[in-house]
Amino acid sequence: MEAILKNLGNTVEVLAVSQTVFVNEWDNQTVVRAFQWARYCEQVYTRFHTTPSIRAALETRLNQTNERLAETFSGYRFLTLSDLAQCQHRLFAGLLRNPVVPLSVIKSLFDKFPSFEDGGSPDEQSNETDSDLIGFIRRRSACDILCSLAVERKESCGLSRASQVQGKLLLQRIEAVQCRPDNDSYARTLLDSFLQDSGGLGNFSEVIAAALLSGYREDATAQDFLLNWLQGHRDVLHSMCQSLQPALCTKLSQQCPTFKLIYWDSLKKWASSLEYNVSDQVWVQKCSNAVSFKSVADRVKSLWSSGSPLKEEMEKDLEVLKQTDGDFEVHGLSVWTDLEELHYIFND
Amino acid sequence: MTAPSELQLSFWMDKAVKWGQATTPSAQQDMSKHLGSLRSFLQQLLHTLQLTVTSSAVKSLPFVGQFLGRLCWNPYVTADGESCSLLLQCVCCLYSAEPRNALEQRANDWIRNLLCHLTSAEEGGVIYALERFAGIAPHHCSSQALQKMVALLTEEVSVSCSPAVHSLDRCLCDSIHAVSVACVPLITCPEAAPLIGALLKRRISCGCSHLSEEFIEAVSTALLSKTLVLEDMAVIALWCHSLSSLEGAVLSLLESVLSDPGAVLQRLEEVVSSSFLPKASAQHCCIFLIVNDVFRNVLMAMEENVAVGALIQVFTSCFLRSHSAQKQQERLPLRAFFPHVPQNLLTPLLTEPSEVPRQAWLEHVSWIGRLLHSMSREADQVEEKGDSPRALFEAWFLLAQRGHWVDVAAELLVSVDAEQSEPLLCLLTFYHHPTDRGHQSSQQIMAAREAWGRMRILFLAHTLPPERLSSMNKLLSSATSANLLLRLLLSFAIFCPAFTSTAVKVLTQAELKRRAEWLLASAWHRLSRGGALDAALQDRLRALQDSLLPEHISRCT
Repeated sequence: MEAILKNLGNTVEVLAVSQTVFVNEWDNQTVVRAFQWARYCEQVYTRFHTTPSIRAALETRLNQTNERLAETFSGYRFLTLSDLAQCQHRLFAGLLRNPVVPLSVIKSLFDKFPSFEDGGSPDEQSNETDSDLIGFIRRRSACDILCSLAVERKESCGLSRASQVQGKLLLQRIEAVQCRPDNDSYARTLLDSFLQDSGGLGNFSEVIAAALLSGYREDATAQDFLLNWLQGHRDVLHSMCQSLQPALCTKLSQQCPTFKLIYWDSLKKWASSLEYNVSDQVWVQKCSNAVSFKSVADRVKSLWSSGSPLKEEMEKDLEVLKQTDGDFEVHGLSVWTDLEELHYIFND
Repeated sequence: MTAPSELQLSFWMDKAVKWGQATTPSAQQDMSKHLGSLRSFLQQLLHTLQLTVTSSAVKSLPFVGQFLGRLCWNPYVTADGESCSLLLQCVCCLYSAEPRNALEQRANDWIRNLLCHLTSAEEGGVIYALERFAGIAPHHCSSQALQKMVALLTEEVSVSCSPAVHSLDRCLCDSIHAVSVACVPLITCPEAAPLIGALLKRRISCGCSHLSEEFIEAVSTALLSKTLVLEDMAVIALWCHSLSSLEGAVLSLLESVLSDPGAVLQRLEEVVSSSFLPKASAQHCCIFLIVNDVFRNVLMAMEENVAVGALIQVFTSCFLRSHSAQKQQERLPLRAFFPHVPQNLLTPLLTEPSEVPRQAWLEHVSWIGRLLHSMSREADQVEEKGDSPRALFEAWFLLAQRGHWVDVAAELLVSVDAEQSEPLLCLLTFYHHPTDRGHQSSQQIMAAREAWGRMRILFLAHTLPPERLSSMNKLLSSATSANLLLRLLLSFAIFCPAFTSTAVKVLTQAELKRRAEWLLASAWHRLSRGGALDAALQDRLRALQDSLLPEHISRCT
């Protein structure tokens, strides 16, 4: 085990050096060896990352190495355990970006783009080699083309195809980690870093929504786990309530009781924060970034239109709220009266 | 290869600008049409760049960097394997090993950035986050993402076509056409195969579905070169959809048999089955009819070609096997596949020799021989009235398809007496000389009878005088019915144990040897299929086959 840890530490050091000026001393032989070590690290990761005891040891060693490297190289970025799965790619990208890399090394990187004849036979394409960069570029481009195609999609509730795919990948990963015992906290950490890397809640919300709605699987353990994680991340849930399309929120409310509670709570909070402007005879929000009456109304309408049981639950709730407010039947006094009225208009 | 002209470059530069990042359907449509010529142009450009240094390339082809750069940002180009590879090789050519000036230095930096863009996701995006999160290498991640994307679209394409949805909503043919255009560069991407299959199959359930021509062409080419593997139903849908694709598949099979007969000979059945044509024919009558139309035309043009004969015979056997393997309620009656053949001839010829008891063979084949003889005579009379003898031609073609019975006739001729031989010789003569009529036909039968008589004496004699050998040699090389005689000779050689070596001495000419090889291969096929290939027969067949090999090979073995 100690040998593995030592090799891991060394490889992480090699990766760090590849991004510094010291790389100008590298020759092709060094690069070949560096890629071999990177591949070794990937294998170590694949083999052990779901085994809690070994993972802990790997993480400890990784962090120690990270800290030492941060002291040596200014601007050093910590490597996470998941990063080990893509060591070769990181090495490749790091070298490409490093301006002091010797020319012969750059040329050897170009050789990793095999010519079509060499890498293009169907057998080799399916039997992925680590240097099959053409295949990699092709598949990414293929995804780009396919995700923008406009085929009518009733089932998607406004979710982009890309989000749906990402949602599925997310679930798949959670499942893969969870199928081994004692990995819950690891899976949580992974989701935390995913959230951090996603560049804003907006992008993230769609992917989470897609994951929650993904397929009608018999085993919803991964989805339950995701919901459970979301409950600890109210900010994400609120962002989802606010940024996702009404139809999508309705669908989520139908499938996930937890989401429904939070969504309905948010709608109530938004509605109760509105004020009636007597001169214009409209409900307005107190500050510009609050949610408008129209937006709340659209969401409520969408919930109603989904039928039982959401419709009945909403009606009951709204009736109670209206009564608490004084049970008025006139416009502009209680936001609940006005929302309920919409319901009747809508039903006519 | 000549260097691209400035005019060419400016044409392609215009195209690259117009295409942009291939986001609009019209841009994709235009690209699908130009993808092939773009590949050739990139090949030409690569050749030129390999011979020049960067700064002079930039001088002689001023937009080359911009052109390549634009294409690198166009996923439609980078999704096509060959274009992507050529493009990257071109870009790498522009990299200066020892930059001599600021221009070359800038070019180097630009190339590195371009390659980074192509191989790494942008930080701060979901794709980047997901790649880090996924715990697998990015290329595995991209493969899984593509598989899932394809699965989604496959579902959308298939669902949007179910009859119930179709009748309520407007048809989605426009978007289906756009999907087929988008798939043109993805044809050889193994992950995309389910989507390509779904598009093809949609054609069956939705009559007005319209797939792009370029898509059909690319799929047909990739199928033939085996760079695309599709499920059976999708291939059938393609062939039903595109006549040229089906014809292409038949011609490619013919070509593989004709261009390299030596390699194909021993595994003819395997080659035929792997073309998937017999199975598709059994499931779709119209495919069978078209395939046979092609065969019919080829056979008419190359009447005496034994290789084509053997191919058609094996194809038909494979077809019949696939047909009988289908469920009873799903299969069409065989009658539908042979609409113009006289009914009374169909069943006896479609029956396998192995399904008829051996002692009944003579009666069976004689009956066929007599029927064909009388059909032929009737046709003579009809022809005099000016009608074309369609039924007779179809009967002949069926006989060619079921050549096993011709072999059986030749086999029986080894052991029958003169009286019994008559209908068998008629059958053989009709098979080899279908267009001979009246007097000519009688003459051919007479010649066959005479040759048969001579062969019998030759093979039954205990010693073999050299003059007999040479006269047989002469007969084989000069007679108008060389193939008929060759078939007879081989039959004697296979079934007359003592005289296998006699045939070897007779078969000296290269051309005769080649034809003999095919006839032996088809005999081997029939005998092994019928379970009649005992050890002794196998030895003789092998001895004959070995004797036909070129001398240097037989000496080595």
